[in-house]
Amino acid sequence: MAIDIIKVKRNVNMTFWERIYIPEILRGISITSRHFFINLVGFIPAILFGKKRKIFTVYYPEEKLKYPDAYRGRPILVIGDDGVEKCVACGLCERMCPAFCISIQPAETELDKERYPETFTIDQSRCIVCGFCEEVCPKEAILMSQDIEIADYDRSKMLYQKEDLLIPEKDLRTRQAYVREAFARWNY
Amino acid sequence: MPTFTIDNKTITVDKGTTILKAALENGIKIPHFCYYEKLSIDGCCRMCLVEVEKMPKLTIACNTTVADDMVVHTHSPKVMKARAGVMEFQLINHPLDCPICDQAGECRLQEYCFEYGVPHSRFKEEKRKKKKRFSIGEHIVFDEDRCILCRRCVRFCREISKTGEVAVFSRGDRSYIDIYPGRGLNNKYSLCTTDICPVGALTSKDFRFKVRVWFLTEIESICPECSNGCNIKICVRNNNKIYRYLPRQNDKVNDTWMCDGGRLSYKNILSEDRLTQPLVKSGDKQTPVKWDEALSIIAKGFKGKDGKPDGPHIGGIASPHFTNEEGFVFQRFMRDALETNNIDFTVIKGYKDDMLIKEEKAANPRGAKDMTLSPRNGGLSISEMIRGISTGDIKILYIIGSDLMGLEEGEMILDSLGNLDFLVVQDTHVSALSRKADVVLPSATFAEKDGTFTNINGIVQRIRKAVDPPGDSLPDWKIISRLSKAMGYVMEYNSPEEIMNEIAKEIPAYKDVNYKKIENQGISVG
Repeated sequence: MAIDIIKVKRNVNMTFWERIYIPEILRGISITSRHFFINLVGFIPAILFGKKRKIFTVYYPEEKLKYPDAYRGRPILVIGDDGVEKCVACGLCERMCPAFCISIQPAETELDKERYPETFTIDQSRCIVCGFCEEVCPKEAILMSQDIEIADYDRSKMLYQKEDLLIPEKDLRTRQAYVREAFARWNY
Repeated sequence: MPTFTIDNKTITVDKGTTILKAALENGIKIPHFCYYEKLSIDGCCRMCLVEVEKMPKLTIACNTTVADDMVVHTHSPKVMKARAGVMEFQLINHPLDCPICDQAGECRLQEYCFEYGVPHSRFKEEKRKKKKRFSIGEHIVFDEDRCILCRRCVRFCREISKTGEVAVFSRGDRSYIDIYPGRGLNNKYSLCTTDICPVGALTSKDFRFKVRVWFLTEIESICPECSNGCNIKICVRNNNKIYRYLPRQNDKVNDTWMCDGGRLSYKNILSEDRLTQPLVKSGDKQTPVKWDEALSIIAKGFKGKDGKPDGPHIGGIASPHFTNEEGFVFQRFMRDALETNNIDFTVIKGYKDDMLIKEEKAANPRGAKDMTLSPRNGGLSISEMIRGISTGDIKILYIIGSDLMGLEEGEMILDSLGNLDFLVVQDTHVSALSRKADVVLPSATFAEKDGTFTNINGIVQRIRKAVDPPGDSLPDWKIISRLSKAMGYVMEYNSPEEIMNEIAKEIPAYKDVNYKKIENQGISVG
């Protein structure tokens, strides 16, 4: 049986200068070498003359990038404008969490919201930062923050209690706006 | 016997059966709020509307009796549209506080809204406000706002508990459920209203906000509070903590009800003063020991100087909280291993009524009687044994449970126990009795073991293990068979089921009883 062979034309139209090979090799080597030496000694003028360096390296603990609004860091709890946490301990995030990292003990309060979390624990060593808890929350009480610095030497310190999680609402306006926009199409 | 067609299925039912009942019995779902099998029909929620051919309008299934050649459609477009309409009306004034509401997860309104409702509300006006959470009785909180006025609670109090504390007041959309002034919803069965309430209007003060219902697993068991043996479901989270009991349907025993006392008795199991380790008296104090050590001390104590059990001087007081299997093992241990006939048990008596609550405040006095835990062949009864302590006829007592203290002469018995040579107490909780004992053995409660109870009318029912026993404590049958082994009389059982098979062979009334037959409705032994 005859085999159909399809010939693919490579769209490479090299000039004579490129075809002789050597000059292009030298050009490539010069580019890599230039970057190598700039990286190697480039910090000297930056230190001596305070010049801004041309290279793209963020000196992490001192310098940080601004993350986009959609970025998901560790989950946090929102304190409303009245100074009380917004969470009503409905248990939906606990149910939704695929890593089983949230545990809540609800209790009754005299406030209008009736219910509040007596304890609210997130096991950060388990959390996979998926954002399901934020999506499922009916009260906008749990949001994903921009905080990613959660490493620690001790597993027991990875259990974040309610006090460690609470953040005032006014610091979270951008994320709140993003969440409202992102989930608006579901028409909650 | 009319024959009719429902959703293209031809069914024959008894005369006078309603469409809703016939549908539910045949596995056809018709949503309903106000209809409840054990209550009279009210027909006020309009949720169970179905289409019957040749009838001009839709009709409610709960109050329409089946007639010959009727053709019923339960899910036709017309019906679905009507249901969506009814749901919309129900939700007009219903507050959207599902995240707070404790009924969420077992709420009929929530379920039907999801299945039959419309996703958006067209209601632009102000919702009417009513009173939020207030105490309506000793055990119950009422939220008027959430109430959909199905009147199940009103009918329950009128027909089942026959106390009639609650009623509907006022008219139209202003009508509300309330109690008569100065009278709370305080009958002995008041918490049943929280079960039958289809929404979160009536909630139990005890269970409120403790845990979300979707985290709970339900285990079928029997209420141990009195000898009626109401069927219950034990709701457990993570297999280690009990949160509540719910009644389970058994028309032979408790329909679908249970009393408040039984329902709140789960707290005994969680209580702080549970015995968790075997204790041995050394001096004035009782010190915890390992099982093997405690059992060898008892084996030594039960034996006389010649190394044989001191038969006639040993008394055994059994517990009416025993399962049948444990009762059987105990009497075999006493009669065969210790060679004594001094076996008896006593029951604490208390309040009773003509509905569910029975006089005997223990789960299994009938079973204890059937398992021959009473004196035979010249054995001594409890009062004779107590008298025997002071005369020196009884030197060793093996007491299980602390029902003895419920007797009138309880204090006197407690004092006379000091004259004994050796006292073994096997109990679930620390008590005045266990403090007197030379050896204390911790045992498991009914929720921590398998077995059967025989209720006062002779219905054998299964209990199932829901949680692990605390600490080192063990089920009674395990303790007794281990103790028997330590005494040199081997009774090897791997499970209560094996013991039941042996009971079936030895006790004539129980010859047809086995675990497969009992299932979840029990079988009668007459």
